[in-house]
Amino acid sequence: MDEKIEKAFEVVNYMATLSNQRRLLSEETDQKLIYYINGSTFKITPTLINFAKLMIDLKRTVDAVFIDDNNNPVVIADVKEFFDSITKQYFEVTTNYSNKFLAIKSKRKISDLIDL
Amino acid sequence: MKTIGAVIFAQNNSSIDYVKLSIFAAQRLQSFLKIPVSIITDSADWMVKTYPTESKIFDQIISIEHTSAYGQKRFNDGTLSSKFLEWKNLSRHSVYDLTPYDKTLVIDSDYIINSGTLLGALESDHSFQIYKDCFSLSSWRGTSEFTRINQYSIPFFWATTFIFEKTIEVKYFFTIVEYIKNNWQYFRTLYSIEVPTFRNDFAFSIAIHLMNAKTSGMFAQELPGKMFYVSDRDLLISLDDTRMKFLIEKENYLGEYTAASIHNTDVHIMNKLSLSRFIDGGLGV
Repeated sequence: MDEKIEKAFEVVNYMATLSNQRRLLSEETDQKLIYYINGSTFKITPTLINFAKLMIDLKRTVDAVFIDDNNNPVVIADVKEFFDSITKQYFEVTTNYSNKFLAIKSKRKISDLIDL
Repeated sequence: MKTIGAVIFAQNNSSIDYVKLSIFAAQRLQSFLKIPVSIITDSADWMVKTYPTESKIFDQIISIEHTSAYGQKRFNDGTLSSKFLEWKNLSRHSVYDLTPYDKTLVIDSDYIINSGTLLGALESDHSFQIYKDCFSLSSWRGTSEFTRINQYSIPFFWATTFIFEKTIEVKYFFTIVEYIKNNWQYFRTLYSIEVPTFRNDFAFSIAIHLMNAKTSGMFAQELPGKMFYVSDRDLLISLDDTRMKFLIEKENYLGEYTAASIHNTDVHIMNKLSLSRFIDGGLGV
């Protein structure tokens, strides 16, 4: 095969892997944003964080009812502790996502892309 | 106090050593979830002789009868190789009676735990939890075949991984699964399922539909997140403490693959032959 064409196919392979790795990284991040409390499940989203903060601002910090991802009510005994916990997990996961996303951009070899 | 544990089914066929896969799956499960694991197998004596040390990982070894009743299925091994082998998947409904635990996580031997995600689900109050949504590591393959059991029918649920607690409702659920299995041709026709082979995913999906009185009811709670999977046309190339690497089939280029890796995420590896080679110390390719 012509050397130029061979190089072009290498780039195509690299682009396909890069694009899929970004997709996997995004789903992986979603999975890591799952939060469990009192047998209920939440995906930590900015909406959940904002709602928890609103509850604190309204001083509804004890035994507050939240609706989980399965539409079931769950009583959160200490909303401040819940808020601290979800924001901590959210920042850790999204920081990790951002670092990996930037690292992927700088990799030029397929083998490096899948090592991240 | 409720007992919590996991159960893995292993019924070998002529080419796949499901016991070996189960030992590997149990090691991963224990290292991430730290709960006891039991095996349900028709090869208990053989297992203890063949894997005297490794089989000690199991909390209990539960024997079931060796049966000659099974289906046949094509097992792909990447895009260029496949075999027609026996598929012994007819005992899943008996897990309710066989499990030694009050709350049981059931996984297939090719479901590789790589995170603590399911740990929280084991603390849930729901008596039956199962995956509905899935995610393919392949960017082009799509998941539409796993959305509904056919284009016009009911939602698809994965019998690969589920958690149940011994309650009267769950007991009836497994009774219905058994009834569907025993009358498979009828239910297959009723629900317009094209493949003739009995499949637990379909039986579970139909049973959930019936438990919900044929509406979108609340019997089955979805497990958190999605069921990540690679097809049997993909290959496992490495797996360390938290990272798995695969070669994913390319669309329309037979024998060509794209590399992919995933971190800290549980994955259903449908290519059992590749997984088996990897466990034997090979690359899985």
